Amino acid sequence: MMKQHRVLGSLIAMVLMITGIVVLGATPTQAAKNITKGLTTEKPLKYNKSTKEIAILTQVNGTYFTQATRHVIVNVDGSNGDKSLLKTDATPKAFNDALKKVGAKAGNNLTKKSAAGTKVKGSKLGVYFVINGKRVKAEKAVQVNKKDVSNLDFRFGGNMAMNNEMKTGCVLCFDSCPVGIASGAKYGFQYGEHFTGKDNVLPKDGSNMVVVFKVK
Amino acid sequence: MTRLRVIYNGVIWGLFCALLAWQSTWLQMRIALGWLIPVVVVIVYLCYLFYGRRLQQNWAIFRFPETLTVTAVLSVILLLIYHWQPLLVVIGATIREVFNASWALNTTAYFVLAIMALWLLVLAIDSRRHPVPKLQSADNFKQATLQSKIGLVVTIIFLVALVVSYYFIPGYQRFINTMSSLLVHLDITALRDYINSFGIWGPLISTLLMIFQSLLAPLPAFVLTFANAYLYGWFWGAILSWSSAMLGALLCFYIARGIGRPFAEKLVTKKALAKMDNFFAEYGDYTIVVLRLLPFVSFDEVSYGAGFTDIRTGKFLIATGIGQLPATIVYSFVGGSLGGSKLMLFMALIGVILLVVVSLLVRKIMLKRQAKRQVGV
Repeated sequence: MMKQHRVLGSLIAMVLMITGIVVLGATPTQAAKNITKGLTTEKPLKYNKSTKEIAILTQVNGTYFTQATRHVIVNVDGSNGDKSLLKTDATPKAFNDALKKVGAKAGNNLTKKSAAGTKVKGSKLGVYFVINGKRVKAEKAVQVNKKDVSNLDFRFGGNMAMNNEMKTGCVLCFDSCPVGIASGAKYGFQYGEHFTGKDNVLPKDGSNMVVVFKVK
Repeated sequence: MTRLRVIYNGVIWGLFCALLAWQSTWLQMRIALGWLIPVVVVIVYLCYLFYGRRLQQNWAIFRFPETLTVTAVLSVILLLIYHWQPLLVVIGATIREVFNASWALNTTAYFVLAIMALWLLVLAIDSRRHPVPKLQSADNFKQATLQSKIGLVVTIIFLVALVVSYYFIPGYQRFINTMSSLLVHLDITALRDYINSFGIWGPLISTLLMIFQSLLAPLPAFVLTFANAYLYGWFWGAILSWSSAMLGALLCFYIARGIGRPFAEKLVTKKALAKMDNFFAEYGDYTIVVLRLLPFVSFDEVSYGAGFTDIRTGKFLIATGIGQLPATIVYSFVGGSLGGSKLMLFMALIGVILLVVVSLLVRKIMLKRQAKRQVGV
């Protein structure tokens, strides 16, 4: 009898556990098995606390395969919405909040008055472009003056107050920036480094592409 | 139809400006460059309303042959700058950015090019059916330009703005001071470094410098020709120096035209102008060619002087172009060889000496001819 009860108890526990996993798994922000799936223009951002990852849906702007820019990802409604390699419906605020939720620390060390050459601080971020289901490091998909680049050293700059004020929509900048939520520390502030996207690596103009940020 | 042609010219110039502006990352990061197109269209249309109607003047772009030439020249320049595929990308990007759309870049570009080609075709058919005549009489031309009060006012405002800006715009003042100092001290290396510091905008700065030195007659132009050749090689340097000197000469010419004969007569007496007229009458269309060949005659004074006579702009440009060619080539050779071999420098020096000797010879022949005529009278 006792044995039957134990079996029944463990069966109920299993059912409850499976139900819990299914229910929790259905919420978009928690414990998603594959963070890159299910992103839409209405829900362009997902995050995963356990893997410390954020994924956002973007659209490729082929203009910057031949022309240079310093904006990697910009929100479509921002004043720089057409000036970036990748456009997104995700807002800088949503991205900033998601970074905080996955445990990243904002640098907030840059202002417009910072000395030229100052580098952005904050948690280190790995940036990956998801192309044909595979993660490609951002460094592999861009060039500076037609030369390959290495370790762009992306950081969570923060800058939410300035971002709200400027309304540029900047999510990810190539070089150290007092406005972008995240930016690359390889190039200092106001050094004016610009890049172009590689058309042989990136999807063609107008394609959707998921970008994954991993807090290191 | 004239309006359609004027607007076409506005669009083609606007498109050219917008596409050229993509070369400046600073500019393209700040504005949607496509908005330059309607702005330029409005400016060109206002120019048409002002010059084309009020002065009854035949502005070149209001005729089809010039429109076609402008289209061809601007297209070639853009192709040389961008090459085909990147050019399609910037055309597409310029247009879709204005409409905030996500149209395919190449399709958008081909659509725009097709519209422009169709537009040009319509203008071509129209020009065959209703050709626009050129102004024939020199008297009409004189009436339209030399005695224009509007021209005088515009020119004076332009000149006053040039002078007043010097005192109120610090950047402009710095630019003028730096340039004057470099040109006066004949500092070729410093001038070369200054132009070079502007990167791809160097040729534009060099052109501005040349125009600036044309306006201020005492400043020497050959230093700039040297520097251009030193920077861009003798061939491209010579092309840059020659074309920018043409622009400078044209500006001086138009300033003189804008001031006009009646006003100039009050400034420098009727007698002096009559003397100049006689000189032009005596040597005909070759006057400017000859004057340009002579290194001791101020390049800019010739341009100003020609503006006060009734010589046609086209003739003035052709004469100036031919006349300044030998000196430009020789100076460019010297400039180009400054960083090169001793043989080149030697050849260039021989060239300069030859130029001086030939020009002295020409001067002697001219004086002899003048003396003979005076004896004849």
